[in-house]
Amino acid sequence: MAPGRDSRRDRFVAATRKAVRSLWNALPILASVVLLVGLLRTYVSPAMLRSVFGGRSALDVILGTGIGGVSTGNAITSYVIGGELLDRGVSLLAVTAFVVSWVTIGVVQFPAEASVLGRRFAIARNVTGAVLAVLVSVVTVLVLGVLA
Amino acid sequence: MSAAGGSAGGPPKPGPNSGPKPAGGGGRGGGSGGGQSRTDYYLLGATVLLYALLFVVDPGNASAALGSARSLAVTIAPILLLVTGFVALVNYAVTADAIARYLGGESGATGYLVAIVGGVLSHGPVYAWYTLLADLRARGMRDGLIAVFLYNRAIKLPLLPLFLYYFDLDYAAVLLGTTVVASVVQGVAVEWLLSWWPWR
Repeated sequence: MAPGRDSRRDRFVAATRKAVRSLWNALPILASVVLLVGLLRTYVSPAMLRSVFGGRSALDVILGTGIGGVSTGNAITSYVIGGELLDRGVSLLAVTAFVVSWVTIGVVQFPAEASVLGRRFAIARNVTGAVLAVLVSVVTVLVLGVLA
Repeated sequence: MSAAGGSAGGPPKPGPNSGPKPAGGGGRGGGSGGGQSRTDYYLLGATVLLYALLFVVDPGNASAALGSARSLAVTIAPILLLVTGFVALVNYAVTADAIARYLGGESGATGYLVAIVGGVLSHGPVYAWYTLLADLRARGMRDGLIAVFLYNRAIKLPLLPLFLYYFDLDYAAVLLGTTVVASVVQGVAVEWLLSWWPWR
């Protein structure tokens, strides 16, 4: 076999081994997160989330960010709950903060993020994510107001 | 930038935020080459203990939670394999020079564009992507661009029809634009925080 082909094969085997090792190293923390998500899905229902909002815009924005941040699961769930919250008179500001933070903040995923990408990175990303969820909701509603 | 050292193709170019280890600090997934940490096992052990306790005091919900976790594990398993394939492909085919050029300290607007498009196109649970991002970072990807990638996962194009069922088109368009801008703001903010961070 040509030396170049051998070299390519060796590089491919080394690359694959490295990738499998990365997955293997992440498995314990991924298993923890999956088990925690199972608990959250079982013990925190959409009805419980809806009952928290009280109709006060400023507080609801903070609540929306916090609840979205600790919630987890498919983004579809956040759309469904967000749509229902709007129907029940919760402000668009709060609903936007909720929908945005659902996917941009990961409290349950934090251990995995901190373990694989670094604790300081995970803290910086989630803290700025929370601030930005509020800012994004304010800007979105302001822009919609201008366009209307 | 947060290069922790190069691999194939030479070391990545140092950027303005380069340091001796990933600026995120403490991460050891992907290409950083470290093993599993004890903390990971402590958390897994604590979670298993919590389940054991719940099976004693609330067996119905504990069983439902375990079923939910099992269903989630089945859902993410193919995505984890796909991401592992991506990691292998990146390790094999993409040189550290290319990563430095498109995602490193000198990547500029191109780096943001690549991270935005990558984040929008990625799917599945976010934690499935951590190992790929850690690998890319170990080979020169900036921390800010990792944040940009993760933020743009908020944009779910396949779910747009459902989103439009609950919200209107104007709202969707404005939120999408605001999200992209916010992702860039977060990328800059995360890099600034990590360079300023007192624990650095």
